[in-house]
Amino acid sequence: MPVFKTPFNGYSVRFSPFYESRLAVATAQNFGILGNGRVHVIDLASSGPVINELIAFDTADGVYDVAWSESHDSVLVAAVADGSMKVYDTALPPQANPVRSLKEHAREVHGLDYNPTRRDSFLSASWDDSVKLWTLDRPASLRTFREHAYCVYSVAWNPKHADVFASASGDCTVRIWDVREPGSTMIIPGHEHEILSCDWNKYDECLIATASVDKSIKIWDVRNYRVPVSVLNGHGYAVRKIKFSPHRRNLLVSCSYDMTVCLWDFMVEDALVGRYDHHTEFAVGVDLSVLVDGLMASTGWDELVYVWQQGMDPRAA
Amino acid sequence: MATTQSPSPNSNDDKPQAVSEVVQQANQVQQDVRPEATKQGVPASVFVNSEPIREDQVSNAVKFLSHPKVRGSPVIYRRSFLEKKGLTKEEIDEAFRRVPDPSPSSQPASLSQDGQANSLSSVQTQAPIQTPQPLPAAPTGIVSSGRVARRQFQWYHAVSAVGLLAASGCGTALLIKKVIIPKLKLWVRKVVLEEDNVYAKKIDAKPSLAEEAAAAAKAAAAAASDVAKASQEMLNSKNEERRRFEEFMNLMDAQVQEMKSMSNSIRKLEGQANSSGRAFSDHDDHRASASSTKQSYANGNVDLNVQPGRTSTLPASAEPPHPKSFMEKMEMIQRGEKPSNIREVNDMPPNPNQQLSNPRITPRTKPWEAQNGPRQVLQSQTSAEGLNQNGVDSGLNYLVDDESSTPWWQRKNVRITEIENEDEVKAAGSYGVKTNEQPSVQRTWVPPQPPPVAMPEAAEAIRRPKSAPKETAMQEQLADEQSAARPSEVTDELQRITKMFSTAGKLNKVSSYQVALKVFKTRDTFYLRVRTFQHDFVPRDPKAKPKKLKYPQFYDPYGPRPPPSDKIVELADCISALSPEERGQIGPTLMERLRHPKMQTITVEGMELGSQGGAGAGAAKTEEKKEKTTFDVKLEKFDAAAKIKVIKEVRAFTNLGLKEAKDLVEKAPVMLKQGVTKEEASDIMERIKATGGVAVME
Repeated sequence: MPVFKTPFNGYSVRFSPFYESRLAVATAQNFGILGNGRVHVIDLASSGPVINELIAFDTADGVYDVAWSESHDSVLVAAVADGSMKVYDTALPPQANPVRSLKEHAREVHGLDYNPTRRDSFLSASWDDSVKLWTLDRPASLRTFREHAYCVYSVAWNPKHADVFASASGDCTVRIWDVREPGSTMIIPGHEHEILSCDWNKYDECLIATASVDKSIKIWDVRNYRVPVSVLNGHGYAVRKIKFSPHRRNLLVSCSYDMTVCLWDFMVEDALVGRYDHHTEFAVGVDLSVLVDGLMASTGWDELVYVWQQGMDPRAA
Repeated sequence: MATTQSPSPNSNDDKPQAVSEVVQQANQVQQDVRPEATKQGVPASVFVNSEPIREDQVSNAVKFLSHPKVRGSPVIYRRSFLEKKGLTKEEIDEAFRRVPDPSPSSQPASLSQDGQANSLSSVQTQAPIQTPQPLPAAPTGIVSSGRVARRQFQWYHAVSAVGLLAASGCGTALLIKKVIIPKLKLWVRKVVLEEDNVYAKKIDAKPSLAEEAAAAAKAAAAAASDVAKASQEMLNSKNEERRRFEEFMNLMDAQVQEMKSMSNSIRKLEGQANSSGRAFSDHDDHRASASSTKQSYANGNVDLNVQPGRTSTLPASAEPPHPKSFMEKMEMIQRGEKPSNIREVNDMPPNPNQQLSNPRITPRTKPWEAQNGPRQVLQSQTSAEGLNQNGVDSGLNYLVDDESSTPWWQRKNVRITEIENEDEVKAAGSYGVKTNEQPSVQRTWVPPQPPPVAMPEAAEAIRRPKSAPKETAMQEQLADEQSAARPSEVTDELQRITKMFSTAGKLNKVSSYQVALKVFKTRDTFYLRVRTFQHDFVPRDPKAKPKKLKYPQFYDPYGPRPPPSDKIVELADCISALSPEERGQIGPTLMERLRHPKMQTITVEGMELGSQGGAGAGAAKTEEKKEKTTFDVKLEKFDAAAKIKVIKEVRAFTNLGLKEAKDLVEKAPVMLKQGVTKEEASDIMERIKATGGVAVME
């Protein structure tokens, strides 16, 4: 399985929803504390287990997250640590990039998510406690959702209801919002510690998973959110990112500061289905491909991006 | 921040709240969100919580919010605290309404009714800040404020009374100070002045001085008592107030204390004294600027656990080990140095109005949208045809017939997920089984069937160790670490797999296993084979010769032991020389002597040794016995009348049956008992004598 070495520490990796072999990687210098950032667009060569870099974009500050547009196959958005978001178009020559710079947040933008059903809007989660809604054609945000009391680490659109999304925050709650409503519609005090990531189940629109600093992943049903459906323990340190599989109802993947990427099936008694400990530093980004079943990618602070098929060893060559 | 809909979060919430307040005040407590939602035109959404308001939670929240310390903290932290406790938005709003606090949702009207009390000065400073904000909500706000103001009258009465008391107490204290000091000074001066010419008028002056002093003292005493009374009253009222909230706050404080002590003890245990570790007491603040601002957040509210997430310390094994270079970088930045590898990058868009390029590909439907359910997804993956079930879903072409075009990342192995832990083999097996069956959720692990012909090549090779070229070739390949031939070998094997899939036709567990067996040969999945099939069958190397084991010289069931002492050897000889019946008596006799059940083994030994020993050296034994301390008891004769008694006695000594004892006695003179001590022998003799027989000790 091929490996891609980035010059900076990796922060996030996302598969393109249009090209099966394309990924975007968000990286930041000096572990994201201070320094430049870079967005890589990489491609998996079909001839062999090699990864090529198609193009890379430099930014003034570290890039914490990246999201592909669902409407334009060559457009991606990068969340930069200085509070701005850069829109890149890989079909345009490099000198014409970035195409847009959207700066409204007062603090670092930590999470991005593009609407997979409506395909026209995306959300940004920032450490200034707010979530903003944007579209590519407008230079300013459409909505600001400010209710969290601490940094918002991640946002996720509901895969079935195009107006519903969830945000996970350091104030230990997950809020569910509806863009048609002025405020949040549900508040799930999920954990006793900060919640770093949340994701919706793609096949059951009422199930949401939250990953927290308390090393656990909890699955919640929004219809009965007082008690989690399932609690997945197994990570040794805080769980940084989770993603439900686009192809399997019960499968989700998580990456954690214990340098492992774990595969879970939350409907099974012994939920941990797979564990990959290929990273030598914090594993901070993981993604499952929407187009190819079983293809997954992860990146970490060890400046490596791995892409592998589920079931294979990511370090096998 | 441009284009935000509301100037602040509070008023953002207030507008719908103001509407809902009126509605909810009209109805009773049990209010659903649905009426409100339908009013706004939204159908009952699943993502809105439809629980009724819980009155106990609301009352707790009211108590919490009424506490003076809580009043001083920003509204957002109060809301966040209540949210973390599990209150819903409606409950929080209800609590805020019930508590008369100077939040923007409450009343500009009642604020204007405040008195001059000092204690309300802090409230007043907040009020002017927040009065401009409620103005947009003024019409409904004032309506509700009028209603609510009446309730708050009493509160403000009490508070203003306390304030007045305090003011009066302070005022009197000040006044008295101002009065007393000049009076004292005057008095002192008078005394000093009059002392000069006092001696003459001393007697006259004294009474007047004394009177004045007495008067002054009285005044002072009266003033002091007044002050004391005032302060007493103040204290009492304050104590009352304090007691009211003591319960609630004690609970919270206790919890905070517990957590703090826990974290302290944990930290002590761990002994982590990283100076920069402190910066990571909470999770994600890797940026120096971020951490400094958040410190200021922390210093705001120290006592109450109102802040979100800040005071929540992590459970045991808290901090993940940050990389060393990371710590170095953090320290460098905290010292103020900038890392050297940062460049100035201009990442602003060269043309902010640049048009985005036209999309070249139409967006694909997502797997969860395209299919009706997950069934078809799985079918399409593992079915023999390998085709996608729906025409729309063009992205899911996996095991197409044209293998050469599928890139490496699309070729999937069998659905056996690889795991590092060997403990999870079963989980992997179950997972693999599940996905190959019809996709119903299986909760119990169904053990997979064993493969019918485990490994034909291996079985053959074992039978014929010399002629197994294929197997050896495979093994050589497996053993080698060459990279050149590998990709092609992988592709060959995987092509074979896909062909098997296409020809399998029927989807069953056996075929999956056959495929898996083929799969094992590829280098990449060597580990898979070993891990997954550990429980089934691992063929041994057919080339290996059978081991020749060394056996010891003789069978020693008791294992190595020191050589027995002479005494033991002699005992063993004696015992081995016994006849079988006598050997049978060893056990009971010893039992009687030692009362130890373990000694029963000697009968076994006796039996065993009997087979080896044979019936020899009986004379030797008796000789030895006579030399040593053992004695025999011989029955010489007996009275015919006492025969029965003698028999009874003999039975008692020898544990023989009735018939055997009778025969023995009739054979007299006969040995009754052998190998007994002198005392016992004499004892036996006595008893036989008592019964009417004659016994002799030998």
